[in-house]
Amino acid sequence: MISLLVAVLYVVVGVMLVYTMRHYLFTLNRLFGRHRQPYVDIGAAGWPRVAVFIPCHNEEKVIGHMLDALLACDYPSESFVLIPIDDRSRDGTRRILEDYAARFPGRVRPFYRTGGTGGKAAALRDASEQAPGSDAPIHLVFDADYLPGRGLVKQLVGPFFDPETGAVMGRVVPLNVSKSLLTRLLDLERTGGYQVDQQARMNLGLIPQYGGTVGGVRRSALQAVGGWRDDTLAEDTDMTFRLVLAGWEVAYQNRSECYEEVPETWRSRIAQIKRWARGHNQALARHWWPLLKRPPHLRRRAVLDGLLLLGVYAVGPLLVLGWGVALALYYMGVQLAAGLAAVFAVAMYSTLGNFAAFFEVAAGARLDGSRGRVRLLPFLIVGFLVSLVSVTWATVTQLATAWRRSPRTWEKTTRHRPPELAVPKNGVGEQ
Amino acid sequence: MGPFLVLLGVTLLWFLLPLLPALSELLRPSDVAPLKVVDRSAGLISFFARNFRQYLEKVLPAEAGAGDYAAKLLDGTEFVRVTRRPDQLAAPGAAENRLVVLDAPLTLPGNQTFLMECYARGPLVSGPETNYRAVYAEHELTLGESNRVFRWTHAGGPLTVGAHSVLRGRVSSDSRVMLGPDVVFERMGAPVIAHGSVQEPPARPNGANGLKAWQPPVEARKVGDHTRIEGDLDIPKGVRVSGSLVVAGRLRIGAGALVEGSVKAHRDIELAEGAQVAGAAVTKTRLSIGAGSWVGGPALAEKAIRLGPNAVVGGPQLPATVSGTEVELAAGATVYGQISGMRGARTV
Amino acid sequence: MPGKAADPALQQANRLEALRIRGHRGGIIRPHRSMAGIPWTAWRFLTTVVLGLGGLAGYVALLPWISRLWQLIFERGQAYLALPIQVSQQQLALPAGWQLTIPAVTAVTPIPDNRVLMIAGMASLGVLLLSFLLPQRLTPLRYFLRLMVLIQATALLYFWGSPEPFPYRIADHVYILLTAGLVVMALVPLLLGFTLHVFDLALWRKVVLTVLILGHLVVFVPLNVLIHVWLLMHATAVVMPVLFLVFGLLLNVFIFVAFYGWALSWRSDLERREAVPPVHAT
Repeated sequence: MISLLVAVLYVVVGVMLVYTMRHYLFTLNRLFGRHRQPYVDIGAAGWPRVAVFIPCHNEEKVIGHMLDALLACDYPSESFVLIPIDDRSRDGTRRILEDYAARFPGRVRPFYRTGGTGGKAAALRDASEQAPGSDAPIHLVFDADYLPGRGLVKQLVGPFFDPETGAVMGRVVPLNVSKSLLTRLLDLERTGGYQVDQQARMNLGLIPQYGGTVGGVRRSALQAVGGWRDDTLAEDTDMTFRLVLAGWEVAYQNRSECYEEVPETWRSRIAQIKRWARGHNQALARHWWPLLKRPPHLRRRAVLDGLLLLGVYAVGPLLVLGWGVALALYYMGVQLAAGLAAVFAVAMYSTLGNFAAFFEVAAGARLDGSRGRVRLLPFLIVGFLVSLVSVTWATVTQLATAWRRSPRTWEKTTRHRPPELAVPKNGVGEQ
Repeated sequence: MGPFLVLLGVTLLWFLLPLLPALSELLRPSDVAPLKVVDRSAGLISFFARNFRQYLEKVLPAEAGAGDYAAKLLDGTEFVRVTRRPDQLAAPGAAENRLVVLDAPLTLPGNQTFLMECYARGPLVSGPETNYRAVYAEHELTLGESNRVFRWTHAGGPLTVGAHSVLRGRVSSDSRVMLGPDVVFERMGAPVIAHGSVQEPPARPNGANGLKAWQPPVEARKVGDHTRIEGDLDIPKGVRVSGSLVVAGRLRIGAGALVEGSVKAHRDIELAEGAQVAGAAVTKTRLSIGAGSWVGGPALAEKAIRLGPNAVVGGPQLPATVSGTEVELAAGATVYGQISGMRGARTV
Repeated sequence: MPGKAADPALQQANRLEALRIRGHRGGIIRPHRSMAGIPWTAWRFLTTVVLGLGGLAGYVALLPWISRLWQLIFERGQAYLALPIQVSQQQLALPAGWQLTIPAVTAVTPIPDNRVLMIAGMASLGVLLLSFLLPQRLTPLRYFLRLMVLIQATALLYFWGSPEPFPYRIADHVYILLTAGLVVMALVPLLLGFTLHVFDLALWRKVVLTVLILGHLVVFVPLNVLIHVWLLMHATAVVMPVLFLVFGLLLNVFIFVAFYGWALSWRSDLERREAVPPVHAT
């Protein structure tokens, strides 16, 4: 029994060490490695037609600001159409969209869903296939609460001049940082995730993830892989791997920044991360084997990174399992019996292993020039604890109810933005 | 219990000591604003030049009189206005630390240094060995040999750059840029940029007459709207390739061949003489556009790009970007749009 | 040559070159944060290696003094707290055949009886209830309390139902925590090597930070262990798992992260030299 538990613990620690090394490698690469943003200097081009999809469900608080920001962008207006997708909103969203459509005919072409599966993925699927204007070769997607800058659309379209690019992803930057400790911690997490993690994956020729917003897909790629799937909770992760497995690349552009609203309450944060965990686990179940079989166009390191990326939310429950096993071994007195080596290993793992994520976040914040907020680093531990518990619970319940098919509904972050606070000072719209 | 509480208190205080900066930042935030993400330049290459122009409109006072004089802008910056005697700019202390407003068509003698911006209302010809912080010309601007500009350059009319000049930062013209040999620059944008002479793109960029259709190799596979080849690919001369190509190795496009879509290679791309790519040419390493070749769309390389003699990128109605770590332009190389060399671009 | 003024042409060339990267007010214009990296210099590589290994060597050299300090803290602590324990010494076998003397504690480890288990159970339930009464904005605290309750519950189950005697005595708990503390301290200079010294911070700051972290842990570890001993003597071994898993090594890591976050908020050497305030570069 002890041998079995020790073996399980070794496996868990081994997996954690792989992720730890990955964090360290990514951070060191981002700090010192060759930086890849090959498309960011495209200023002059024959800009293709673009359709910008904005899935909406009860977004009256934010959709107007979003449309204003996009209408102010510098993309050639004749090649640019906004397709807000209203999916049975019960608030004033539809009225707002109708108003914009009347004021900007041909540029704002709302798509109204009145039936079918609920949820963002289903909305995108229907609109991308049916909406007027959806025949544009490039489909960009923004969530309704985002605030893109004037040049963002051109920046996001740039990578699609590369015929191998199937999807592009920009960097999301929290706007409501100052609201609470939670928003400040999420800002740090986003910094680590985008400024370091995503960019390092781009630098190293791995698999940057398309994140479902502040990004887009090539229409022909979308069609080639079967379009958006509405039976997934994480259509972005799912799309990333379907594209990569089919031979497309995902381009990450660190320079293409866009404001977003992060959850302001722990309740909405927990709901968000549970959703991400379930969606990611779905993608893991679907794509790990095709990935492991390694299509000929994928390099080994991309396959490895892809598997690690797919497993990133499965690590939480694994970690909890490891703690449980360690606890059991503790009660069995194994730690003592193993002597100094065991203590050394535990101590080393606790420091080196736990610290990798902090290094990533701190490096990202420092690259951003955000020195002051790095002092909040120790509080990230509280965020990790909540995330760990939430992800584990989500995974456990997902496994327990896997046989049940739940109707898809809209799951999104609660909007907190008051109507008068459309833009920050010196934000979008500044000349 | 008492001694224990004392020990607990002391230990707790000691434990909290390194947390003081974190607690201070939590309770009295010093850094809590969102990152500034709006790119006011919106990618405009003449952004700094335009900003300067707008600034000048606000602070340049009405003329104090005819002729040349020194005065102050409305914000207190010293400036000197020149209409007749550009030679006096060479006098010690005359213009080196002053903003210079050149209010008439002028020819500067050369061997001068301007540590503040120069603004030319009329056509300006700059003598050799002149150094500028930045120069804005409303009309035509001719920089002589071995001129150096350190921040940005803009001309409302044609911009001509003499041999051995160095233009740092952004260079832009609303008309055209003609470059002499051995000119070094970083980023440049204009309707047409040429080294020596302007070349037109091929008359029939999508013409198929006389070209045999290219058959992809057996191992090629269709991925969406492009054809993918693992390994290297040599396209023979004089063939027509329909659609786009993605090559996992090296790509060579033979002389006179035409690719009607875009090309991407994970290694070097070489366009032989007269080859054409109607779309973009993108590589993770080096791109060589041979003599008389043409690329319609962006030409992007993550290492060096070389445009051979009379090579063309883009067209009059088809702006394009050339971007690489180093960019080299041979005589006659022409780009309609922008050139960006992260570590520098130069004419040879 | 000494005493000769610098060549005017060279001065002029330097002034001109500075125009490339200096703004109107003299500050340095830096690349956008999305493109920013840190230039890797030979000097920084050297200092990273030297500070990392040197810090470790310095720490190892100071181990005998650390050992004596810990012995003193334990002996004085035992007397101050009037703990019914005996403080002696034990040898810790280190690699390469070295030995280090660390404090050893001899005591009768109180094992909980049913009354103690009942009290601990009620207290755990109370904490659990409290975790549900706390407001949502204190969710992390709620989760933390529940985690502690969970671990405590396993301890209660063990003491209540396990036929095996509890494998740890106070002496073992002390040994493991002190040893783990020493190991963590040894890792500090190495970890700082490739996570802090790689940044462009003044050399003296890097040295000071290493000393501060080690100095803090040298004091904190034995004090923390003494508190554990007191709690174990009064609350019995039923609290040992929680103390070990939650209030042991993890606190050391927490301290390290706090220092690290503080250090990375310091100005870089470049900023300090150029007196440029931190900016959100656009």
